[in-house]
Amino acid sequence: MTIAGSRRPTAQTPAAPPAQHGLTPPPAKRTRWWRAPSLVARFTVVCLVLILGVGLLAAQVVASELRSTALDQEAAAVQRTVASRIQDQLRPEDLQAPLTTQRMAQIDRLVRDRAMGDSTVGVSLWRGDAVVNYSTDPSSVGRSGKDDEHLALALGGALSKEIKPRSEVDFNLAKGGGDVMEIYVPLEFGGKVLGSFEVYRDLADVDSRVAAVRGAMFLALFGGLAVLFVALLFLIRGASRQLRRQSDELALFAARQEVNRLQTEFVGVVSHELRTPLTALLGFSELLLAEDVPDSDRREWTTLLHNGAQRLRHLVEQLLDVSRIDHARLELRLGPVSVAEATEQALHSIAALPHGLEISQRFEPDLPPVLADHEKLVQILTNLVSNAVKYSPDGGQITIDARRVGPSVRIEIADQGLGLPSHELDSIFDRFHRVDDERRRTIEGTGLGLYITRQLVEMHGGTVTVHSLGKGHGSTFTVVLPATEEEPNNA
Amino acid sequence: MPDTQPDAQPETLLIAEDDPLLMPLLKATFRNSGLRVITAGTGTQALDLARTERPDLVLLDVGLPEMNGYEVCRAIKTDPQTAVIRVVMLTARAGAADQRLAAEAGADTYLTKPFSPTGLLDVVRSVLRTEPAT
Repeated sequence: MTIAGSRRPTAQTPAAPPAQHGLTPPPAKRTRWWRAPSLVARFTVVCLVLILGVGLLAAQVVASELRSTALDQEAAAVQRTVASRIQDQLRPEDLQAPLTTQRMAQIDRLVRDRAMGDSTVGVSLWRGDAVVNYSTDPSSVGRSGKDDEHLALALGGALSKEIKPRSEVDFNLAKGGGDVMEIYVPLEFGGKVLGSFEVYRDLADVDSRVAAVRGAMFLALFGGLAVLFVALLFLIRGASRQLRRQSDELALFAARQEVNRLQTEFVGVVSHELRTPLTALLGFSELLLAEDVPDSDRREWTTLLHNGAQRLRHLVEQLLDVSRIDHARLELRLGPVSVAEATEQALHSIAALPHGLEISQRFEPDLPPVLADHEKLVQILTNLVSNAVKYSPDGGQITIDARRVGPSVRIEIADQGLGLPSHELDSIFDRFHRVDDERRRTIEGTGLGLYITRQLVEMHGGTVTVHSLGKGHGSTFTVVLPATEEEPNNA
Repeated sequence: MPDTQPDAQPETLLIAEDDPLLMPLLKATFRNSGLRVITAGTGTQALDLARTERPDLVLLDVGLPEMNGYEVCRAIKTDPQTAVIRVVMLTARAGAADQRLAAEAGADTYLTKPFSPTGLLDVVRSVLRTEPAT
């Protein structure tokens, strides 16, 4: 089934209603999916963004809360250890003056027995004057911590802690591991803070526990939301199918309306085109019957009556052509055809040219014949030339130009007539399409000629196109047909 | 203005039609009518002749080139110099729209194709006997 003047594929159109009078509706226009994504696609994109965003954010917030709690607990645990296992082994003078080698060794043993291990990777003992008196990193001993605000807090009596990336810690640590927390525990003797016990904790363990929780959280959230999404997706898909069904029904309804409109227009155009020759037939036959007619008049009127009958025949033939094309019943008898000869025959069939109109031909020498149905090529050329004549009411030049282009022959029929606005260039080949403007309204036509022309050309495997420099600047129709090397047989 | 012209001076009929079949038919229809017949093939030509020849009646086809029949009719009926000329429109479409357009343009009456020559003759004669529409 062909659709009038349409080059769009018909596969996407909703089931067309049964074609009546060979009329089919124009295809419904579908926008491309990326311009108008389906409801389901839009829903999916929004949901995925939401799920990922909300999941990641929630997991992040919970994880950071979790970490800070864990760190507080670590610091408290360290403080308890120091209070219960370290402090009673220390003496006030350990925090007041540099240690003797012997004392240093004792404290070192104490620290390594009771404080090091697990995540504790280093210990320093600060004197009240903010100098390291002992450290598991011997190079730290004697270092001053006067500018360290966290140390200052501890020396003021408060437990303080600071978290640093491992690379920023001012202490020799084993390679590898995570961030480091420095915990300063104040050391009190008799109600007075005399120094601080600093513990370096490797946070790799804490952080890996937090990361595990964050991952689990994210998975749980993502999974929950994904289940919700799938449930909603089914709902949305159902709704979207129903919407599509309804819009298809609407499109079908619009298509039926279009068929009705085309049929009404068809009846209007055909009856209009029938009326003029019918008037001539009825009128002249009445005159011939009723009156005592002189011989000269009788001859003239009979000729005119015959012309009217010819015009009717032409209209009927056009309608039959359309019907045959629509039902794919038109058969071509292909053979080599001389374009010059076909043009000659086409020009012969066109009635006398109106005053002020000239037709000139420019054929390339040695133009090869085209592979065509002779009769149909004449019909194509007749249609295009008579069209050019019809729409050149102010006269001018009509040029028929034919030349070889690659494996084809290009025939151009150019006029200096009314021309076409650019928005009409596509639809001009549509069935019953007639360009609507003041100057054309009075020019008779069925709107079938160019439709038939295009269908015939395309059946030959050729193309027909039109271009115009705009209203009032004439039009040029270009027909491209396959060339052939065979010689036309002069039948 | 009532028709007071004596019989000796024939009334003039302007036929404006561009169709190569219908123009000879219309000329043949009026050839023994006793009217003086002049013809125009385009709308502008019809308006020119209406102004210079002052026919008694214009038989005006709707589908004329250059100016369509409605435009010509409107021009004739709005010009006080030519407003007395009676106008009979010939349309090829039978429809309320055309009837309305003809009436709006000020036509005295209109006929739809196909028409019979004797029927047209009768219409023209009866319109010539009545006051022109203004």
